[in-house]
This record gives sequence, C-alpha cells and structure tokens, in this order.
Amino acid sequence: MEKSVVCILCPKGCAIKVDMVKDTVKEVCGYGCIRGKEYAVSECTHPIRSVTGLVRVSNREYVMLSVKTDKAVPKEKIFDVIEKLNAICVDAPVYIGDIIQRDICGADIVATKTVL
Amino acid sequence: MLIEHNIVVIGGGPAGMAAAVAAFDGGEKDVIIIDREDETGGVLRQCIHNGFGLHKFGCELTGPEYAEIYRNKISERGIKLYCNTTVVSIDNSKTVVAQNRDGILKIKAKAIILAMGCRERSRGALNICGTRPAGIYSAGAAQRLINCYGLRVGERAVILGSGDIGLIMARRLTLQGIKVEAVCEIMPYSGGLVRNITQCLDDFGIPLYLKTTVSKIHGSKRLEGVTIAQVDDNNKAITDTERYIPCDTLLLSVGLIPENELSNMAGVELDALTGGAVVDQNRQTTVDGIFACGNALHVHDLVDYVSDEAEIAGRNAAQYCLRDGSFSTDAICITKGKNIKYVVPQRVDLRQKDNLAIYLRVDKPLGRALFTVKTEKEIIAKKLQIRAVPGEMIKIDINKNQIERVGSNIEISAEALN
Repeated sequence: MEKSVVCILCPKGCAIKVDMVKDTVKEVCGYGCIRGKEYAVSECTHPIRSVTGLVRVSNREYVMLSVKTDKAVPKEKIFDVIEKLNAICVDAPVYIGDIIQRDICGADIVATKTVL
Repeated sequence: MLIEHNIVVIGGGPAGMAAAVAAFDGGEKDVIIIDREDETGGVLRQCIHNGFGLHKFGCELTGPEYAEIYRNKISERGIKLYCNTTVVSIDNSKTVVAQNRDGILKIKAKAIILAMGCRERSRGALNICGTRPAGIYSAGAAQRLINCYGLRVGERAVILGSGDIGLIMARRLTLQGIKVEAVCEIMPYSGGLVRNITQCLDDFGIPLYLKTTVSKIHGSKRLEGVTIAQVDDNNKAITDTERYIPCDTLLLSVGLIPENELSNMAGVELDALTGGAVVDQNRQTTVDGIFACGNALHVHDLVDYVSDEAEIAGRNAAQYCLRDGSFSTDAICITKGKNIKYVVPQRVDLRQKDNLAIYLRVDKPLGRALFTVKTEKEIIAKKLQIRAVPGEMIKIDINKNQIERVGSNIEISAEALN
C-alpha cells in the first residue's frame, strides 16, 4: 500500500510517497533530503511531533512561560504533554534553555524564553 | 531635545534587529533601535511554536528563541535600544520624532531603516453582516492573549482564513482545550504552508472548508454562532449552502498589511502591489537614506527571509552613511508579468555590481512552473520551480553580467508546466 506524507520538517513541504507492505517500509520516494526520508518512514511507522506549549509563572501576573519538548514525542502523546504542562507552575526568574521538568513522555521540557 | 544618531531603526522585531546588527557590522557603529513594546522581538514573542531558523541557523527554533539570538547580538554590540517608545513622525530630512514616558525625543539621523512590520486586516475590512458581539479576534491578537498573557479566549471557535497564522492558531486553540469547529477559506486553496495544514489541521482532525466564508455573525453580547457558506466564482456567498455553526469565538486570519503611515509622512513611494515601499536592490526607498525591510516592505512567509532582507538594508544603510550612497536615478525597473503578484526590489541601481536576487510571489497556484526574466528584446534568465504557490515566496538569482549588459527594464513572468 502506498502512503502519501507531507514532510513537515521544513517549509518546502515535500510530498513523499512511502510504499508499505503491512507495517514495513518497502520504498520511499519524493523526499528532498535525508531527514525528509527519515521523517516519512517515521510518519508511517511511529509518527512523532515536537510539542510547544505554555507554563504558568506563579509570581508573575499575566505572564506565561513558553516551553518546548527537547525532542519529538509520539504523536498520540501530544495531549498528555499538554496536560502535564497545564499542571506545572514555575517561579520566576526562569531563563531560556532552563529545564523545567524532566521526562515527560520521554522528553525534557525546556524554557524557550526568559522571565525575570 | 534634539539628539543625533547616524542610523535610526524603527521597529525592534526580527527585521529591525537584523538590520541594526548588519549596519553595525557594516562599519556604522552609531545605530539605535526604537520599539513601541517593552521588549524587542516583535511578533516572534507570541510565536511560541517551532519551525523558525531552519535556513538561517540550520536548526528548528521557536519564535522567542529566534528573537533571543538577535537580542544577544544587539547587546554584545552595545546597540542602544529605546523600548516603550513610539515613533510619531519622520520626514525626508530624516528627522525622527518619538514619544515615551520621558517626553518627546527628536532625533536627527543620517539614515533611517523602516522596520515597522505589518498589521492584521480586521473585521471592518471584510463586510461580514451581522451583529458586533465580543469574541471576534484577529488571529494574531488571540495568539498574543493566549501565548503572552495566558488568557482563555473562548470555548468553541471558528477560524476564517487559512493563512499560516490561522493554521497555527487552529492548533494552539486545540492544544489549549478550545474546540475548533472549522477553518474556512474563501479561496480554492490555502494561503498557508502545506506543512502547516498537515501538522496543524490534519493532526487534529480539524476540517478545512475551501471556497467557503463566514456570511453572518450572530449574538448580542457574546458571539453565539456564525453562518458559513460556500462562495461562487465572484466570492459571493451561495445562500443554499449556508450552514449555522454555534461558537463563541471567531478568529480572523484574513491577511496582513504592511504598516507604512510613517513612510507616507516622509514621502516614500509605495507599491500598491506589496503595500510597502518601492525599493532598489539595496532596499533603499525613493527617499534618499531611507531604507525598508521585513514585513513593512512586503509580507514574508518565513522569518529567515526577513532577517536576510534586513541585513541587506542594514549593510547598505551603513554604506550610505560611510560614503555617498544616494538613490540612483540611473535605475531600471523590474515589473511583474503574467501570473506574478509582485516583485521586490522594484528597481535596480545599475551602479551596483553585485548579483541580483529578486523575490516574488505568484498570484495563483501554478504547480510546476517556469519563470522567465526578459527585457523587451531578450530573455536573460529562466528558473524552473517544482512548486509555485502564492503562500511561498520565490527567489530568482540573476547574474551581475546579465544586468550590466541589458541596462533596460525587465519583466518577470511565470508559466505553469503541465
């Protein structure tokens, strides 16, 4: 069975075709780079996504800390990550690059901005 | 109080920051940035999603991270920032008047870089009939309320417009627990990047209705619902297809407009096609010593390209200050031909001996397309593009020898291949 995948790794958005036999990838074509090929294979076998989100800052009003997972997590875990983020509350100051929490669905949560 | 600075950059978003850094590195150390917000970064501050910086830095960054790189470059160089400061006027003698809590600042500049960015088209520009309840936001406003202030904008939303901000917001609302009932797009295609349709809509099963618009808004105090309808070839709603969707939130992602009130004050010529200034390849406007870049010049799809363009403006503003770089009357025009929406730059200063990069957009999806650059007499360049769609800016490089040789106006057109 042939699956069509739009690559999300860069704005080119290559249309990649993946030939699957049951759960095994037989052939990949239409990719623009090696990362795209890997993405297409992953998308057809175990799709993953990086998640960006928000964390509350306890000692600042109307300020949110933007965060990201340091690596992609399984796509079906996106909402689990968001739910965990909603439960976190940090104290400022927080600096860009700080690890806010370790191992949420296999990824660390990293601050993407500084809140002084 | 009259103060003097060689280069004044108006706007501290991605364009203004990159322009200031490039001007400084180009040898002109007396550069300042004026921004009306309390911090630099512009729209990047609210773009907490990732996908920025792939071209420029070879890695995937979020908006705030991309901004931080430039903030660091600015502080390393000691470039002076005036935040919480609004420029209220500029003129063609390059006097900048700005206002902040300390009062009025009058700055005499040698060169000005316009980097004010753009603003969102609002409901008033759309003529949607119905009431005027709360709950109708421009997509960027909602993005700021959610991502910067942590506010909840509603419970159930419809998004009109499928440009990138609309798509990104469909995902953000969903992640924040707000149900997105539909994304409606009046055109027969989405104006956003394909990858955003995949990762923002398809991932979450959000339906995208093409050739569909919001025909009526319902509700008195708060939005109660919208009527959506398919449109005919003249973009008129077809009554038979009308359908009511209950919702308390409507996001409008219906286009961005370069902000150029200040440019007008200085007498900068604007291009009706881009909404920004007419510039030459140095990004100098038709007013000597005033340069423009970023979304104030034309709306970009990628911040990486904004940075590139701003660097051109910054470098050349520095050159302008260091030696005579006045606007050339000895310039040729670049005009759009068939299937092209606009081109930037619109003029080429023939005294410049560098290769020329032309940026353009097509006016409809062409698929595989062949671009032709020609003078009245001959074709000087061709480029094959695998996919040409209005949402993606296209760059065409022209060799300096070709430009020097032709010395006459050139036109760019595109042809869809099969």
